[in-house]
Amino acid sequence: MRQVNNIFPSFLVIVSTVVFWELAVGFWDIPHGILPAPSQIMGEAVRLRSVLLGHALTTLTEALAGLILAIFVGGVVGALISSFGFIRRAFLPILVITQNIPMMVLAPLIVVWFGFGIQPKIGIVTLVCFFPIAVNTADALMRSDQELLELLKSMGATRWQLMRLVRIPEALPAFFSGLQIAATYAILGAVFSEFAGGTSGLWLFIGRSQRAYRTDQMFVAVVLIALLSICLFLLVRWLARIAMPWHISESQMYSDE
Amino acid sequence: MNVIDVRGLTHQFNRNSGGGRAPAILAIKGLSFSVMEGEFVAVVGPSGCGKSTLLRILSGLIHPTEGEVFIKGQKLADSNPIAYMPQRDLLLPWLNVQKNATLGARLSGVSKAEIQSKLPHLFRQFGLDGFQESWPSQLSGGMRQRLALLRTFLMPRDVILLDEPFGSLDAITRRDMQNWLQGVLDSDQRSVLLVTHDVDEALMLADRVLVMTNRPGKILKEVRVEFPRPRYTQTLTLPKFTELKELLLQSLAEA
Repeated sequence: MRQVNNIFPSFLVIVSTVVFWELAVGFWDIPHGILPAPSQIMGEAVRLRSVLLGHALTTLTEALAGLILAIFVGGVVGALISSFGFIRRAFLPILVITQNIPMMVLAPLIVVWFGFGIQPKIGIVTLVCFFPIAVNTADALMRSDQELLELLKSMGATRWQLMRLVRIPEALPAFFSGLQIAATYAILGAVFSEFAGGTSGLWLFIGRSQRAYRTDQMFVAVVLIALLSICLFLLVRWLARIAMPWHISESQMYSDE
Repeated sequence: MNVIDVRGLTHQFNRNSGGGRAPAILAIKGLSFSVMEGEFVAVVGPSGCGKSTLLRILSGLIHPTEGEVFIKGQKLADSNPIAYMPQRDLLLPWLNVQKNATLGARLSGVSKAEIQSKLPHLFRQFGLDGFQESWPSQLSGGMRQRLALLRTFLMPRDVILLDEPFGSLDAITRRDMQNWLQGVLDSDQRSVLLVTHDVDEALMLADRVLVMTNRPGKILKEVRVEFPRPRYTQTLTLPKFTELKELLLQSLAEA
């Protein structure tokens, strides 16, 4: 019930916006090339469903593969940064600088180096996504509860046991909040990566629609990108619940005796 | 026979602040005391008297600058014969109640089968039966503290070290826990060293109370508590209790 109440306000806003949009386009007779009505966009989405599915699958594959790779790269980089002061001092500033290079600049270069296939696109998504994961993980691993570590040491825990029993589970919430940020970047990164060229993908579809003055089709692509982002975001949320079952129960309490 | 023998313990912290040489802090100086087999000894002292330094040395986390600690005649070295319960319950939120309870024993190398054979009885005794699969976050403050105690008692160590175990609880729960702990200690005859601020708690639980001086900490006074066990709330109102309490409070004021 609480979940329904949480979603309801934004649902209401979205529905009333769409209804207003539909009515406004008819009332002021706005040209379709400028702003198509929601009904027209829906119709176009249904008509082009098989073509769209292909493009969306390409983009989704790039995003998912890049995100999965980013999880590994981000996790390893985060662990290295947190464990070795030298690596931290040497590479952290460089990492921050690389994050400020616009992908628009990098994408053509990567194409020059790696071609038009799917691999360079996955690489771009990984580049965009690993940073929030790495920084969040490193930060959390460095802020382990010292008293907890000392207690387990006094119980006779080895270094590896400390890692497995304290450091890693303690860093999981931060890792997942990094992953949530990364997930919202992933679809965007994949769409951007297609800017560098290729034969399939939602950016390609948008480009073609634009050249054909099919504004309605462009809107279809935009809605699809948003939907994919939301799906990926929810997927990460679900994964976090699976990985950290103790987090959900934080609000329920039993009474004493 | 003495289970703990602390002889001339001195510890000095060398502070390094911003490269400059800050004066070293002498936390404890010439601290000596002993705890006998099965004895319950409480240490009270003003805050900052080096109690936590003493605990960290006893639990093997730091080595004293000078002096020695013997546990059952063996010099305190890398192997750690003390089960330590810190002030905060320090339960692992990501392990369920049962896994938290057995953590110390498992890390100390006790076999699963041996732990399993003791568990059902202990869970009942510690009032945690039925909660084995719960998360620590679902427990009340008193239950969390009992779980932390259960974890400590399950460790196969000769001495139990309790650092303000009930400090975070409200007065009523604290009194209940003190009564309950006496029952547990009735069936578990290990030596206990308790550090507390609460003079009532020390007199209620201990066979002997040691008063520590302000930094650098050493033992200022020793008081024998000879009320019969188990001690009940009525013990608190005995004239002798008031007399001992006054004596302790006076020493603390001098410390």
